[in-house]
Amino acid sequence: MAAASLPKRILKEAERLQVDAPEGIRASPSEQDIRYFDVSIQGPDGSPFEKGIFSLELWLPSSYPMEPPRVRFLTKIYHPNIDKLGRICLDILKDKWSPALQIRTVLLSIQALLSAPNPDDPLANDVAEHYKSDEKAAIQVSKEWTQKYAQPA
Amino acid sequence: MAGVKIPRNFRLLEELEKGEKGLGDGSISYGLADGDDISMTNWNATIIGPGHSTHENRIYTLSVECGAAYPANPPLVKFISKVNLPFVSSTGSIDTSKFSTLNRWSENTTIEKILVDLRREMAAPENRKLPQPKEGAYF
Amino acid sequence: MVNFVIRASNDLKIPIDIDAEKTVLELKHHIQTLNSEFPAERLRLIYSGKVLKDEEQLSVYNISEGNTVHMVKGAPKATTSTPSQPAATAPTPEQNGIPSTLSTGAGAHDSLIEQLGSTRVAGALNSQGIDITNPNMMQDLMSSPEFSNQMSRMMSDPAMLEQVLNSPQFASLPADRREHMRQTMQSPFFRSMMSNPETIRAMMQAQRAFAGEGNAGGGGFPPPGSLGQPPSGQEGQQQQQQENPLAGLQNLQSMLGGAGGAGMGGLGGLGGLGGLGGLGGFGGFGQPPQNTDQRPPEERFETQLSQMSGMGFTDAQKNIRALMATGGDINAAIEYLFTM
Repeated sequence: MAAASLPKRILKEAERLQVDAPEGIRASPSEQDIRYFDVSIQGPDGSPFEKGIFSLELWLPSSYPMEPPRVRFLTKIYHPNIDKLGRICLDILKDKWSPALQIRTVLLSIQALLSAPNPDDPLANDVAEHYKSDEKAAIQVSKEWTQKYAQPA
Repeated sequence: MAGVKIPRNFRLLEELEKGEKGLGDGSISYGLADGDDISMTNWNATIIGPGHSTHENRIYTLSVECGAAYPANPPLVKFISKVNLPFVSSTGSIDTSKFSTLNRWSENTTIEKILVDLRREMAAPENRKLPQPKEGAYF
Repeated sequence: MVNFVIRASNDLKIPIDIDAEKTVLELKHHIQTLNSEFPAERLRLIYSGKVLKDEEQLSVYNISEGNTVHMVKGAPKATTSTPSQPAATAPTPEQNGIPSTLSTGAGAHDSLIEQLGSTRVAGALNSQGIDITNPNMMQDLMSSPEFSNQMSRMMSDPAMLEQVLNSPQFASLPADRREHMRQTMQSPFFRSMMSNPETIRAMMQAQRAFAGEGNAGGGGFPPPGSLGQPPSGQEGQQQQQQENPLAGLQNLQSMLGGAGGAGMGGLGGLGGLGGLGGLGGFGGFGQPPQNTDQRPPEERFETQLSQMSGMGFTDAQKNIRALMATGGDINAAIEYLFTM
């Protein structure tokens, strides 16, 4: 199947992310490692993360696209599906990955996750508990964290 | 697919997950010292002393510091629990020249492997009968 | 509440479901009530490189869903217990409310692949004395050639397929759906998925696609464990088959899934989010190649073609050639295009 060299699919995806980036999303490959991307996602309007700019890191394992990309937030974020280390609980990054998905679709899904926090997805996560017990207050904290940590430098 | 190197952070996330899930060797355990530390630098670790040795049924705690150059460079490993081993100094630090896992470091060596190898040293014929300080003493 | 697993030094695993406000000492007493071999005062618990302190609340340690807490029994212990646990201490994750990727999402239990991947394999493996609930063993197994062969044989044996399809559960399905299944199962793509550990993750994904094909949430498929030919005679084995498949598959899943705690099922159907124009790739496996399909390739590979053009491969004729060469495997087709 895949040649040992860097699959052209990765080059192609990287190129398209540069010239035709989805709105509110930026992803640029690192100069040292084309499998490693610096990513930023703008908090969607109408969400508690509105106006925030969130940094993420993304890396394509050698088995990509048979395996999903690895992604995590580097900016602190108060979200029921994102943990303290920036790990993201998103099915397509785990068991629902399909090789037909791409970096682009992954980032769009993460952006969508910011619009639609899902505290009912059971997580041993105090943020999820907070969202369930007092959503209004939890959203307020999310907004405060966005103000505090997710501002462009 | 040689030549693809996993970046430090994702490598450490993998190690963390393996540690939290307890998928590996059941006699050792490791995890972040501070669950908030996005740089994942400081780790706690434990080794359950091997049977048929003076370490039996003891739990040794250690600290593991993974610097920015990990895994190209080995982490800094120290015993916090007092232990009497030829490669452990009087402050708990490990004399890397006497412990080959750190001495001949390879990028593929994990925190887990270091701990498993340390435990193996504890059970080695020349070390397993060494008198040990009272359990619960710390460096 | 928090769910995790206690792992004793003899590899015995005890599932725990406890209020996170409880203290470590209370947890130890709880363990003792579950298994009297572990007197609370002799237990020491370790999580993530930390020895848990009796007086602390469990919440302090942030134990995540599905994680493992190691347990050491202080004094020399009496000889081991059996690795199999009484039902009372080992409720299935589902009964227990432990989230798992398999139990989240519509119809996950119902899927065909799970049936094949669990019941049949569990049966086959049990009969070889292999404990499918032992993750280590499963791990070895997955990488063993026998496993591939086993899967491959199962998939390629028409009699077996017939048997599966004629089982009462499937027999109730419309004929065209059964035919579709037969073709699916006979396709090289499907078989290579089922027999290649490398692509078994992809299999898990496809499972979703199958479940989505009109069976979501429905009872179209039998519950795990009830499909397939009854094991030859031994009741014990049947019993095991009834209980093990799900557990086995979950082990498998957590092993293969590697990343992520159980229950990170995430969005539970991204469709609900709306407006995700870019997500057309979902469910791409829903249309595996159909060998006997007489339709023109444009029609047969419609889904793949539209996905490929979405990825920037605009030459439809080339795409069709690639898909035909690879039996409709879109990923292989793309690699093929690049290497041409």
